[in-house]
Amino acid sequence: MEAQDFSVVHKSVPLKDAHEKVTGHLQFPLDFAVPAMLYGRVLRSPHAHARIKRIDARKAEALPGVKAVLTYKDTPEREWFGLWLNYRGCVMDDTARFVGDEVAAVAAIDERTAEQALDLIEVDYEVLPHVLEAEDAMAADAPQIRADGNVRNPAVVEWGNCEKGFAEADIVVENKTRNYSQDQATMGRNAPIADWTQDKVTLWTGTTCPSELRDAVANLLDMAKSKVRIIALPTGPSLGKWWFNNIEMVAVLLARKAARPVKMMLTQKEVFADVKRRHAETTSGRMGVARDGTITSVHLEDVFENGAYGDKRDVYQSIPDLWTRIHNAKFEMRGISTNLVTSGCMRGVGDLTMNFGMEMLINKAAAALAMDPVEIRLKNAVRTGDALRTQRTLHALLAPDTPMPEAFTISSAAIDECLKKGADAINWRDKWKGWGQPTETNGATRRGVGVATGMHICGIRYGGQCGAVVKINSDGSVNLLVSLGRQGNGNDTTQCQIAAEELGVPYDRVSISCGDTDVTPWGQGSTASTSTHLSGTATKAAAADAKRQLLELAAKVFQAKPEDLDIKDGMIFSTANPEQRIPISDITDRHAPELWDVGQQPCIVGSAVTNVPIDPVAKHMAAHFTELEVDTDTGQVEIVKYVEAQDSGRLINPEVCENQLSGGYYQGLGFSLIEELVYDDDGKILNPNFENYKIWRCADLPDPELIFVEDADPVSPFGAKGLGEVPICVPPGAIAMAIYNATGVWMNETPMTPERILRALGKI
Amino acid sequence: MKKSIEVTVNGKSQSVEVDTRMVLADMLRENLRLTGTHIGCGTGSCGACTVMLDGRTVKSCSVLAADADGRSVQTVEGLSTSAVSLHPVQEAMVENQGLQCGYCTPGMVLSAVELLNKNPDPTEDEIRHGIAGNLCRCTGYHFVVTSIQAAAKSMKEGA
Repeated sequence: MEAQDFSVVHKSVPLKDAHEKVTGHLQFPLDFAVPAMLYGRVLRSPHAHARIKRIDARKAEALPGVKAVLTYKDTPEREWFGLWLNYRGCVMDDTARFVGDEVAAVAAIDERTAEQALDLIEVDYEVLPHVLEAEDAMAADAPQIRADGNVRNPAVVEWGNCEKGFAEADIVVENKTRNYSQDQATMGRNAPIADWTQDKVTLWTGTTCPSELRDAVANLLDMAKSKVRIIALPTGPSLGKWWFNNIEMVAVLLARKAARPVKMMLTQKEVFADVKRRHAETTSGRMGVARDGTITSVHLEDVFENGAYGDKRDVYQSIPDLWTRIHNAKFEMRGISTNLVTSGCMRGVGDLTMNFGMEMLINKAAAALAMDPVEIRLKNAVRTGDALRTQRTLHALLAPDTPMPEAFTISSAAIDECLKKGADAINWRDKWKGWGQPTETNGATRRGVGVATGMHICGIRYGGQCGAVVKINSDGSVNLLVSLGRQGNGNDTTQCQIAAEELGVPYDRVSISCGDTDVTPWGQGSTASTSTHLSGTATKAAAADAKRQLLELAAKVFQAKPEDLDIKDGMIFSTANPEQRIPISDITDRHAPELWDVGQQPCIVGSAVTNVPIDPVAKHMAAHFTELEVDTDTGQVEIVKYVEAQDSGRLINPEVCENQLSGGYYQGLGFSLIEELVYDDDGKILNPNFENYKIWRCADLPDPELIFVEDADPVSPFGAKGLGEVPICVPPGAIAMAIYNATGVWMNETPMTPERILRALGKI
Repeated sequence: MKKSIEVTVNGKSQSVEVDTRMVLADMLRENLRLTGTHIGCGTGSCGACTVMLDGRTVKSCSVLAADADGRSVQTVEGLSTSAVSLHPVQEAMVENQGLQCGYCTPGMVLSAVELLNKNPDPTEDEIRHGIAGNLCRCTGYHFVVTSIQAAAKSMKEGA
């Protein structure tokens, strides 16, 4: 189908919950309350690494208004596990592993009483040596944070023979990049409320992964999954922070002990410093190129700094797939534990950080060859049908019982078109003056241009099959049940559009329930650019199932075969004679006139449990271009122009997608230029607030120019790939190249602050 | 210490008993259950809690409730006259995708309303500076700006 053939898909309809949002009626976790609830606060470790020698909560428990105090003695000895290698560990144990680690929790009749009680909990710590940098934590004599050590076995993606590839190269370059830690910097705060009846717990919480959270709680407490009910509240901005975290488990255990509902209150400081952040990373690499620009070999060694309870390594990244045409390659990804707050997936994760390392290697190789950076990328980047390199490692890890397919290929890849269209938009032909050559010089200010590419997954099939249910009501309206989070990416709206299009009903006739695990079938959460691609596949199939049932009933009325009928705008019609048409409700509301005769109403429930194919596999990718200006006296960078060209597949809701690209640009430029969590030698985060951790404001950046390369993907619902994460993955490479071309210095650390730029320029 | 204040909230005069240390945002949310005023940073940096005090926007996390004594407060709940009819700024945000997660939206809406009250025909630059006190982590602001432009147009046409 072409774009103009759709009724609901490819239309920028308003968000399903836009009215609730603009009126302030939508309840976020801080706004939500249940009757008789208590307020919970957490006592956090002042030490980066310490053993609890003694903990005495008696004085706190005796304070009037305190209903329960939770310490590690009340929590299960077993560990619990987060998603996508965002390992967790025990809810609490006798060791604190970062400044801010949960040591105890109090439930009281109000927040102030709970806070007072925290001061009354006596804790004697044996302070242990701590380690904050991944490089230091890898040393044999480093303090060990986990029982199984600080250093995980590397995940490896490898093909060909790297050394042979280097021997064949005309030029070999080396580089090392370092990314410091970005925070999701969410204005919203989670405030989970847990409530127990005799043997069932209900947990209202801002989570983007309701089904997986339900399973994690059930596994931790050895409960039937039917006895754990998650009601996912809208999270506010999440960017990975509000998948689910230890605070939910604390809420569940504290509420059980208090025998009352408990709402866990987080402060803004806790949201920044004590929950989850983006990892720090170093990427060391070598790259060999032939004189014609063919990359003959790459070897990338990547170190993920995981904090106290993270475990990324990371086999899910797509950089090897973007550069699958390189003849020989080895990507090694190591996860390292440190005594800092847990790090884990934040939007783009390693396809932002590792990608920066890869892009800088390509830049150095192209500079050594004096080759146009667009040309070297066009020459080496993936094309449709190419082999996917990461998939083999993933399959071996996550589907060991399933035969390994002979080939994994990419379903569609238009990175070449992204590069060409982006280059046109920024006028690359005129702007590109050669490596280290500014486009303009004016006193101390110099302008330069840069380009970079990136790729990320559209979820993965190995995360589990996704379900969807489509109920058709007697009036022809529709309820869609599918498990998703609501973090602002519009995935609930997108699912409604998919269901409406498939079923042939108007968009406003479809309502969605996506957060209640007692109601929705299991689904992968809204992580990893998953929802449109995987849940969307299930939603489309469930709508098709409902439509099939409807048309079977309609066939009797039309005295025709179901396959000769279709539905559009809520009307069932004969394809041979479209004038012959009736509303859906003529089929679903067939009762005798003036009688309450529901017995004749058909009950139509469409359902589906689906996955995407093992092969081929969809990925989303983009090329970004920028022209920027560096003030070499102050180190200040001003963006002059920015272009994002993305291979998106078909857009379900073009304006929702534009918001995703535009927001990714802001966050990606934040990562590149200004955002960094800073900590002292004791591991205490020094800027856990919006005064000292800056994000861009409205007047700070020019709008990006957005280009969608909208080739329908063959394995995606209506051709729509995931698209939310790549926008944040690409900026640092483009910015660093443009700074080099403006000033002649390579910036290998992010954020590229004025201080770092001046240091690179030798001015400080 | 408790203090009884007389405050007009969304056009309705009422007396509210507040703790003297309480900030306006907490009074609105806790005493009056007007949770459309969102708490973000709590320190005046993010703008999520923006409300109007005597017709001018303030960050309600940084104003003591007691200082609202004898004054008039307008929150997002007071902007639309019924559940179905929206203020033109709200309408424009819905129609132009001027929001994603919705957390900053009530504060953003009120800043935009104040801007358009003072300057019915703002330039893009004036709009950008008019909402520079309201952080949005999701959108990149483009459609927020175009929404305010659309609202300005529809308010002029409606006037």
